[in-house]
Amino acid sequence: MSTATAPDVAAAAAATDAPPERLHPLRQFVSDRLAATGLVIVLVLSLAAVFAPVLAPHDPTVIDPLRGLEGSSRQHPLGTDELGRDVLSRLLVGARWSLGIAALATMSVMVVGTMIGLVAGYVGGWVDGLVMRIVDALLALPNLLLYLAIIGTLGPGIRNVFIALVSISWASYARVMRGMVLSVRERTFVRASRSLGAGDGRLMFRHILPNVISPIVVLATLQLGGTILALAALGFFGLGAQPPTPEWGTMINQGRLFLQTNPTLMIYPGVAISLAVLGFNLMGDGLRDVLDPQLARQGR
Amino acid sequence: MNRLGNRLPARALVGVLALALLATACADNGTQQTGGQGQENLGPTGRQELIVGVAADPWVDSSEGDKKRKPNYPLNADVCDTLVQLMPDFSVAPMATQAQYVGNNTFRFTLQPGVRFSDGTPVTAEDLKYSVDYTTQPPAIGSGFIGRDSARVVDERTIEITPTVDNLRLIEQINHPSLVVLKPGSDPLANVVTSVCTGPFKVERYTPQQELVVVRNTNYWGPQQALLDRITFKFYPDDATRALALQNNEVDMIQDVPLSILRSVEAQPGVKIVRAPVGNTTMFYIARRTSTGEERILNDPLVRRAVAHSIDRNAYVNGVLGGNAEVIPHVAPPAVLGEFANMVQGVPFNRQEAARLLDQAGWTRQGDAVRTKGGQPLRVKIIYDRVDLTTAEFVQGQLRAVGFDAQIAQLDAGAYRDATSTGDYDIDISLPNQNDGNPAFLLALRWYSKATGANARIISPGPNTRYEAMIDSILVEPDATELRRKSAEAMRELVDVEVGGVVLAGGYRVYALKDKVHGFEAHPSSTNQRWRTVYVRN
Amino acid sequence: MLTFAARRLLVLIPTWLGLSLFAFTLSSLSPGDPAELILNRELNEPPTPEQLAEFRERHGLNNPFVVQYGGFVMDSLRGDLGISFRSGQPVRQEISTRMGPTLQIALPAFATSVVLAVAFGVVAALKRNSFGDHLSRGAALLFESMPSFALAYLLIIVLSIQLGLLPVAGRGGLRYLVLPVLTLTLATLATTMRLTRSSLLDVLATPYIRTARAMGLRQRRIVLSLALRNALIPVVTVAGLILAGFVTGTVIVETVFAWPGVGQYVVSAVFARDYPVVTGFVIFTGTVFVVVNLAVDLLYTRLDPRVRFSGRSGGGR
Repeated sequence: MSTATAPDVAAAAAATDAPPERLHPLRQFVSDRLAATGLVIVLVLSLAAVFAPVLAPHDPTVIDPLRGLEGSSRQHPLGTDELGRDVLSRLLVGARWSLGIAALATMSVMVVGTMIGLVAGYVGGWVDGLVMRIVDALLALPNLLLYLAIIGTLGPGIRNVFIALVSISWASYARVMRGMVLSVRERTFVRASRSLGAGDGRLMFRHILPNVISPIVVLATLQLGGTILALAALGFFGLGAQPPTPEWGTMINQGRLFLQTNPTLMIYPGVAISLAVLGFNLMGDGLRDVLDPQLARQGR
Repeated sequence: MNRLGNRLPARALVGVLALALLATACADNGTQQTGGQGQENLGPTGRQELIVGVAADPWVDSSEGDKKRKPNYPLNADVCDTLVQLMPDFSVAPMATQAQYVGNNTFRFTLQPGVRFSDGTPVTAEDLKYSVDYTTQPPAIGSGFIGRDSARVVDERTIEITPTVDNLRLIEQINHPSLVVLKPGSDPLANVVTSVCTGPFKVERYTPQQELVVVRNTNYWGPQQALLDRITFKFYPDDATRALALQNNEVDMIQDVPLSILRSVEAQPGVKIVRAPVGNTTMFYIARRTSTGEERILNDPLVRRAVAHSIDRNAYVNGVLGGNAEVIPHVAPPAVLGEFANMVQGVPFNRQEAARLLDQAGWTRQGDAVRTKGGQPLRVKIIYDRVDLTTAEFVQGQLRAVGFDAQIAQLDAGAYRDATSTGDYDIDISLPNQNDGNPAFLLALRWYSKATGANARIISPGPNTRYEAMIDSILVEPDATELRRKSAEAMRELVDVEVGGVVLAGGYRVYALKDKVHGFEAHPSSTNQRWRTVYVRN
Repeated sequence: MLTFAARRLLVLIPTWLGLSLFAFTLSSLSPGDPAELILNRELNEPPTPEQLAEFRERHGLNNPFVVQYGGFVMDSLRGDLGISFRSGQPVRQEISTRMGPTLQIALPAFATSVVLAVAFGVVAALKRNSFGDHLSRGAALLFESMPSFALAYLLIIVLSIQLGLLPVAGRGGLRYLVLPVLTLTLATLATTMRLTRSSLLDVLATPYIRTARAMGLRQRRIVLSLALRNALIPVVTVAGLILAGFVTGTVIVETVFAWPGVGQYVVSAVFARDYPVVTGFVIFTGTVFVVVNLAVDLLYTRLDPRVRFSGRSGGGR
């Protein structure tokens, strides 16, 4: 990889002006059926999350113990859980947490990570070295363990989950960003611009930033899936949303007790999580094909 | 270029999703088969080995004091004898010794004939003194107000114990498995395998978080040796896994089936459910002040009573527990109160009354919002121990319905201990067991301001109350019937008037046994469970 | 080769230091006063101010942050990872006793995952766009999208409860190994498989492979002896990281299957606020990372000689 030149040229060509003889990205994306499926899944789930309070037939936190563990009925299409709460309502409102927090966290992380990577790549020197060592360190450890350690230390709840997510996940964005910055920085046209007197800031925003958007967007989409899984795992350990707020991971955790008699209590939220992650993965794959074929061939 | 081509792996995805749905469909079978009754009176056949699935290893994350109580409390492996024992009807009978009150706040304990340790050496009074002193050395354990100098050797077979305060209830209390007969030099805290006791079993090995294995003590002094050769207690912290372990024949029986999974366990074929009489209560304590004396929100009697009115015991017992408990108002099993149990009525479920009391106390709400007073929300913090999250959510849901902002704090063992000793909570849900023969056991242990432990300062009505005077009187009451009556009175004062705690259910000890297991008698107090009569028919 | 190794080490050491700083900062952020917590549990009652002061002196808790951190680093390098709050045993010992069970599932899972992923990846690359290609990639993608505990319970429901083939949880003979290993394998299959496939596709398209084919070498020989070797280079890099991740990331699987390994132990330490164990584990993982990274880099140079001379192990990461 360090010596290949042909892909570099192709990327440069693709990154500058109109991509040579390829379908318009949007058209290509939509025609890729899998990516389109992913997009549809994500849209449906997002709409469900946004309109959950309206769509949910019941308040997901109101208990009714004498109607517990019921199967599906007209009143409760997906049945009730052990305290008589409507499962469908909990799934819908749970989407707000699982998807909403994931989206918010990913966006924050994206901004933080790209900023750091941009600065590191552009400034270079010891700043770059330090940042990259921190990035390596963070990427070394399994994320879940770090989240557990942080939340275990600070206590559960939305705020600390957020802190944990943001303080760990920015690393991969920073790395990608910095790599891109380095490769673009040395390209002739940038050097030419600089020799013509363009200022640093201008260079960064006008030339470098637009060219690195693509891999970042792809990364974010794929990472969304990972964040949703991480949130679910935290919920599984009881460190996510606190009762009575519904949350998919927590629902699976409590459904375990009824594994044999009411496995649907675990299966529904499990399917929801898997669908969401799958949707983002498919979308991310599709985006990658469209926006950055070089990255696609690396299979990252 | 479209890498993935036209042949949709959607087909593949559908196939795998179908697998998941198949699992759903198949898992819906609720075929009920009650375990066969078997022939209960025939004797043992085949290898006499039993594997018991119990909950998490209680001696791993516990305090040092609790570790001193291996292997007798809270899991009792029938390895050690107490001085006197608690019978299933909560009466007290001799065990290693016979007890007698000899006046002047002093009790005499005389060794039964032939008592000897599992290594064959006979037990002497010096050994008894060592055993009592073991409980008072730090970290101190044990009950009954026994102090460091309370035990005295009288002769070769007799000791006397004088509690540090007037306490006529010592004999009812001293059957608690904190105080067992130990051979001098034994230190279960350090090494439970080398500790020597006098019971029908002895410890073969203990692997923390995995298993405790005991084998028959062939030197047992009692009239009959244990029927089992070996018992393996396996630790399964996860309720669901424990239930599945029974199904997959990894264990022969499970102790303390959590009521939330009782239904799934009952559904297994070849399994019989054994229940003990009510031996514990699911209830919550109400904190009035922190350990430093700062007042808490539930110190207001109106608000406390409103809390009690918000709890629908019937919904808990029949809904959450599926009918596998009793709806009682008593904070201790009613059996210990004997004929006076009906004196305690409890606070009835009545949401309107709860709302009225809260309004009267100044906590008002708009519609369904959280109640506020002077800009402050009506917030209570719930902690819990020994019950599951579902129970905590039940209490939370009931309180939210009348306008409390009830928060649940999920704490680990250490944090829970810290919270209960500093009073950093409002409601503490727990599952106290009646582990000795004293009808006022829990009343004197928890809500008596003179009791040891920070807990008492936090939840007790206080030193100058009617309740406190009642307990003072109980501790020196010599007559058994009067004792019961006074205990019932004190409980009524605590539950109906002071609302020091609210009961959710009177619980059974529930065990699930494979049909091959026989001779198991469920003791309402699981810390006094005996295993010596159990055998298997293979 | 040695200078290369030394150079790599020079780069990795700051990483390790960064991790140690993170671990130490985390432990100092933990709420509660460790002196109070420990003494409270030991004595079974609130400690007196004198006892607290004495404890703090004895354990150097009054020293400034930097000094304490320095001590922490020196201890860690010596192999002293602290003492567990709960058990009073050295953290290193606690971790090493539980390492066995974790390796027992992590290593077979890793091996199976890599072998299967490479196999499927190769087949998928060779029979591109066939049904088998799509099926395997679809299934792998699905497994990757599931939360691992959901996957674990799905396997339990199907293989253990319904079919009664395997025990549910716990540790015992070989049968107990199957479900945890299977769960771990399935969850990580997709990435490696995809990487193998695309990497192989890339290599197969390069000029020198086409030349070999034109010269008449059989497809199979080409793939096995020439293409695969190069295609596996990025896989090796990633695999090294995956292995390190496996060993330290079996947290969920161990919890679900009641497997007494390191992952479950550290989780229980997090919940019990046994901070020395948590920070000790972070240090331990960091060290594993450094070692694995070094090993992978060295292996990489043997596979791709160009790297040795350029002095960088770029690409693939």
